[in-house]
Amino acid sequence: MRKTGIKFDLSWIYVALVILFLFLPLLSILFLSFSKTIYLEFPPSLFSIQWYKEMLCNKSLLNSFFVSLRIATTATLLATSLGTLAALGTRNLGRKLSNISYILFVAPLIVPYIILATGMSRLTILIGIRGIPAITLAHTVIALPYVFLLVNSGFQLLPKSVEEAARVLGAGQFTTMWKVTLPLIRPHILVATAFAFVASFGEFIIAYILSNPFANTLTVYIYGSIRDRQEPSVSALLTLVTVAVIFIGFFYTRSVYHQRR
Amino acid sequence: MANVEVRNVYKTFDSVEAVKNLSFHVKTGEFFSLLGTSGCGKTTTLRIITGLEQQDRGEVLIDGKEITSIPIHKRDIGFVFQNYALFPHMTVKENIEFGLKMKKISKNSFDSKVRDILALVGLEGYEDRMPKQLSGGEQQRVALCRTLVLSPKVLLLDEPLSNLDAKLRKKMRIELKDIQRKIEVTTIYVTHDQEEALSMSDKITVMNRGQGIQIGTPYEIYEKPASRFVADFMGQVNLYKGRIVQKIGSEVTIVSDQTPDIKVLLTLEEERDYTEGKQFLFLIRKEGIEVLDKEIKGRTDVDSFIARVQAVIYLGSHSECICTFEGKKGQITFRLPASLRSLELLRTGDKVMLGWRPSNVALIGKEGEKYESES
Amino acid sequence: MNQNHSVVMWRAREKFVEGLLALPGAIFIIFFWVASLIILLIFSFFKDVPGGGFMPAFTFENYIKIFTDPFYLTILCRTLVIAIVATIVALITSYPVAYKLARINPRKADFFLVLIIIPFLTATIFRVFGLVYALGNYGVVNSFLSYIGVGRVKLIWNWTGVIIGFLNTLLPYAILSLYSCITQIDKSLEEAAYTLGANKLRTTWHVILPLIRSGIGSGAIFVFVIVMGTFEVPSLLGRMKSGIVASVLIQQQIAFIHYPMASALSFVLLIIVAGGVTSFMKILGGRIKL
Repeated sequence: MRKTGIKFDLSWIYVALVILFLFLPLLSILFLSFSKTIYLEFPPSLFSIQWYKEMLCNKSLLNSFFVSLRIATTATLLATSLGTLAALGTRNLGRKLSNISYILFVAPLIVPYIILATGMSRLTILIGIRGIPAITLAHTVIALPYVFLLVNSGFQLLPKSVEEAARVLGAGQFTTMWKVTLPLIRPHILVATAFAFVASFGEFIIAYILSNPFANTLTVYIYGSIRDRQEPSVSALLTLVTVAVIFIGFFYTRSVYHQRR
Repeated sequence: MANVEVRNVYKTFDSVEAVKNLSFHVKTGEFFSLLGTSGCGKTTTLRIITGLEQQDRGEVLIDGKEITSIPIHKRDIGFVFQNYALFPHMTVKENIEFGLKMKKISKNSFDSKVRDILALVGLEGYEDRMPKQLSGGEQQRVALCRTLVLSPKVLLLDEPLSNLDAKLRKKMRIELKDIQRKIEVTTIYVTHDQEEALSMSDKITVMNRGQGIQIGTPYEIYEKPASRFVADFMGQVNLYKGRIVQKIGSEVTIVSDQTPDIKVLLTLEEERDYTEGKQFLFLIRKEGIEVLDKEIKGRTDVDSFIARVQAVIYLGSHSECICTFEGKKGQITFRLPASLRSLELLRTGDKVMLGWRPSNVALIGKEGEKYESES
Repeated sequence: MNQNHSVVMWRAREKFVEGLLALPGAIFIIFFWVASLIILLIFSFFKDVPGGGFMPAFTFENYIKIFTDPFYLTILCRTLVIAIVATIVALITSYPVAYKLARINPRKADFFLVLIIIPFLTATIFRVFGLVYALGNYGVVNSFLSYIGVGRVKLIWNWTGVIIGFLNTLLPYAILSLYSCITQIDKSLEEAAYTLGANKLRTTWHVILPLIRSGIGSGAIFVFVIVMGTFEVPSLLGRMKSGIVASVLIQQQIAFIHYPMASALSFVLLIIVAGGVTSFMKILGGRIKL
């Protein structure tokens, strides 16, 4: 039987390879952003910050980044509030209603986004909403299931007796929710917020189909860049975004864990 | 401070009858216990009184008023959960203040109220601690404080001591009873531990499978169990089936194929219930049985019977002896004090003379018959 | 006396009010998501105008075309095949990682899980961007290979590139999915199997896999749905001309403003996905959870 030594047997080599594989694109982006050439070769020819300079001059690239940010922020706020309320409201339903509501709130997660995108493209015309608001609404729809599922999982860890205790001590329904339930599932809500943001920020197909010259998200820009141009400056922005994500993710998780302890 | 009445309450969960026609009355200031094994419906009953569950049929009245139509948070009943259910995200002080905040009492009095109630349970200075920093016993006391600080009309406790270790449990029993006596709050206590129920209660209801089997004082429940179930539950091992063959006034002779013939004096009431030829259960109390010294004959207070030793079990502080009666099917179990003499004298196969006062024989109704006391 | 009907209205009231909380979210989804699907359905019966555009009508011609024209049939089949293959490959390649992480000290496992999640947090298209530069003929991998003397390999704009691209996206999902259910299996079950004479492979096959069946199902559902619906990977890493995937096809129709056909295709795709998910749920007992 194999021993559990660290980094001394085959399976660890496999794990390392898998992790390397997963990081391949990010590492490529990292090295490309500092490379002297337009291509990325091995060994990479470093070191130059020309692409970062170019990035700062690229108005449409930067603009698309901010558009993505705007949409993601709004969609996250909407999805988190609607999703949390939905999870709260569906807790104590009977079996039939519970199943129906579960299917309703989780469905957007299971159905491929392209289907929603195609339908939304016609729906938004009918309603008269275009561009950024349209994308925001669509992203809210796809982020909602994440929030719903994550907050629901928080409920499972919550001992019901604590809420019952609040009721017995004189708190009404909503006072209990506000003072006892929500504070106790706060870590889950925060994680749900993060998931919702990531879902919206990195989403492509809906943003692509609903895009117009004024509503170009970062993902749509990158798509055009890959298809039509050689644009290493994109890698500069992506590196910065990834680093930011790692940093924010680290501190965010820290604070969520702190609340647990 | 109020009296509580539960009347003909029924509750079914998913085709399982958790509570079946349960009725009892708790006087103001009384310490009333619901005693039974897990699943007998005692916790469900408590939750129905609080409002956490709703009965299918029957009424719950406090001070004569039906409370089923009152929402949980307006009932002014205190409830201590088995797992204490302290708010993990609040300090001890905030936990205790919670109910006060709900009542919209002025905030000025909070500090002193919290201090006083913590002092009552011996937790002075604990205001700023978090629940996870507290031991089981401390958590339990905070849960109690949280409820008592509101001066509820009724206090309900759901097996509050079952999560504590044996030593702490014994200590908390005394403390709880002390506090209850001091505050004089009507208390309903749920437990599966008959020692707890016996030592703390003014009145006990023994429950089984959703039904109340017997209501009485601890003395009545232990000394005069109404059915085999209650006798069993309270630890009576010497149970036998018999019938009356001879009646001379209030003295009867019980004949059984498990024990030798026993003469007993019946009370007036028993005379009415137990007639000649009637089959019933009876018990002989463990504590009342002695081994009679063959030399000291002529004791008139006890009846004596010859038995044969089956086994002597050493248990440290005492030994238990199991004997059989000659020519009879039954066994009898009793205690031996831990003195060398008895250990030496009694070995498997020995013949002994056992004696007990007739008052140590109690008649139980036919199996399953309910029997309620008048007191 | 049964007065509980009228007297205990507060209970019913509380439940009702609580349920109302879910209403805004439900309305939102119905308004935008359900309505989108309904519109899609309606449009699927419209008529395409050859050369560009569409017009309202009621005809089944789109569906008929999809089910009879070999072009569409091939593409749909190919989509399904790729999705199934990718799912299986993803699960098999992720299992050893998930198992290893599940069996070491949880703190150490956390570290690796974080590593795995980081790429997962960046958008798929970011990673496609990176992969284009990594897999191209003059990209990292090939220059590495020629550096060590192996020679260049065509890794992009073919099915290899597409599979690599998919795997890169799918592995984190698969690993996390399997990890969470393997951790729930007590190590002593494996140890019992060892003492009874089973080696690691047989233990895996006979003991662990049956027990994590529903976990495999959940992971499969997630992975399958992603592949069926991912557009970026086949579009950019594959070659559009020969053998494209359903999502790309749908987008193409949209580019020609052939919304009726796009809608019909979307619906057929939806049915295929639903069928796939249901099969996974039935066969493997998976459920939809995070």
